[in-house]
Amino acid sequence: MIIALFTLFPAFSQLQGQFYSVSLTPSLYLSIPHFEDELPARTSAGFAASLDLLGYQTNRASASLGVQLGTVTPSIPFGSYRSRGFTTIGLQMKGGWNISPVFSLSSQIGTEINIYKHIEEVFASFSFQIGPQFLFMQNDDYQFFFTLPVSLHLRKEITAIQVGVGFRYQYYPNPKQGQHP
Amino acid sequence: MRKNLPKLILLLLITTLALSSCELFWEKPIEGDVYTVTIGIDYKNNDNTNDNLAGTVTDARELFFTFDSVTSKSGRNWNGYLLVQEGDARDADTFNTSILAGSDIYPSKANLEQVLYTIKSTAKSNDLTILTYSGHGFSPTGELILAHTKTSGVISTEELKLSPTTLLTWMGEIPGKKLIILDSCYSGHFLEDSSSSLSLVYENSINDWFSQYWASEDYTIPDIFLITAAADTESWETGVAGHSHGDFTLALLKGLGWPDPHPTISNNPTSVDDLSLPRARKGSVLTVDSLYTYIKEHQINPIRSTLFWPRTRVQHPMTNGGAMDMVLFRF
Repeated sequence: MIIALFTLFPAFSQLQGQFYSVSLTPSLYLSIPHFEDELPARTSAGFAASLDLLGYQTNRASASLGVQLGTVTPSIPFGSYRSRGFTTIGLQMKGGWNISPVFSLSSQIGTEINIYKHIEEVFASFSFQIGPQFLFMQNDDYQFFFTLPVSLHLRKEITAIQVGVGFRYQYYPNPKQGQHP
Repeated sequence: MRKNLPKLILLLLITTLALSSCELFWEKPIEGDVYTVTIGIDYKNNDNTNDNLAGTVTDARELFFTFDSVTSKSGRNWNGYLLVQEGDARDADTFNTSILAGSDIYPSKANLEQVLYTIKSTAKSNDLTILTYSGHGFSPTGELILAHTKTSGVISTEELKLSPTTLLTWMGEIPGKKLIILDSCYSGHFLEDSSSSLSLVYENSINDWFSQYWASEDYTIPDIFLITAAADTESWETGVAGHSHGDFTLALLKGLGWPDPHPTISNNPTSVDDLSLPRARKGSVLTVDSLYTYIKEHQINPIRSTLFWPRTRVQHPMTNGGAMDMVLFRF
């Protein structure tokens, strides 16, 4: 799939080199339980902020390491239960593939520690994310992306699908100009 | 690729809409009746004066009235059983009370079992049963100490103990949703660890959190939810408006709508209309978590002691871990 994308689409990035980035993503969080529940999925809202401290952009691709902070609200009450809200902190590894001057695909894997704040209980989880990014603003040292990430949050008792709409600000402290196709 | 972008976005939106908000269009279950069992024991009818408790009977009586109010405000039918041992009477008439909703029932182990059996035989799968207990918890394992039934002679504590296993078994046989609220020392022992999360109140580490992720034990929604006054410590009583309450129950009463400031006994509410909607509700629902959080925030005694901020009389309320919170009442 990746090879096909690289073959079909010319790689492109106007800015290259080391970068830092910040992403903010509100999302819809759908909990699909592995246990018997009254509903096939419960709906919550989520919000995630991620900070990539170690990032590098080449002509074709980017990679970064960072931390993620987030929160998920309790679900809408239904029947006798609602799913609990929690806050999360995690580490993430991100990769990006430039497909056109404005369009790139990003993917991410991560692991998190999550806290049900009110009841003071903790659980671990893993996550995968993929989504398109659209460059809509840039100058000599930063880029602004509009993102549509789709995540899988793998908890022990729940698999959650998270669909978000967000923004990503990518700052290049020592930018190099890339080649135009 | 650009031509396909609108289709990709549309696909994402359709997927999201298809999966989201089941809560809004799924057929809502009908809420059933509410059964409450409130227990208060002052231990003044045994030979030992050191174990007397001043706030437990008022806990039970005021909770009994409060649950009547809460249930009435949520538009559900209520059946309340009040089990109290009060004063020094230890004659046969005191012990042999009828098992009738609304009348004082003597809180012996046999009577409690009979009350729960009565509820079991009438409750349905959509009903809610709430049991509250204000009394001693055995040190350090937390067993409840129920009222004795000896008109004379030595009373053995062993015979009065009610273990977590026994109570959870009796409650587990009742159809519907169940909540147990314990205001007693060491009551956290009634809670089993969740298979999907670990409490920060007890010592554990990041290794334990990830080990639990990979552990084979599956999570199921607890059949019985619990809120306990303490983890593995003692719990305490506190004086208010000329009488006593368990500190935990005082906050519980406030959260359920008992007048604030707490009135003297002679000024107690006489009608359910005198009570407000539960202050612990979040939006239009009262859940185990909202009630638990309210109690933690409003109890007088501290919930933890640290090296830099040492505190005495620490009692940390506890509840079930895991992904799900139970909805108790809607208003």
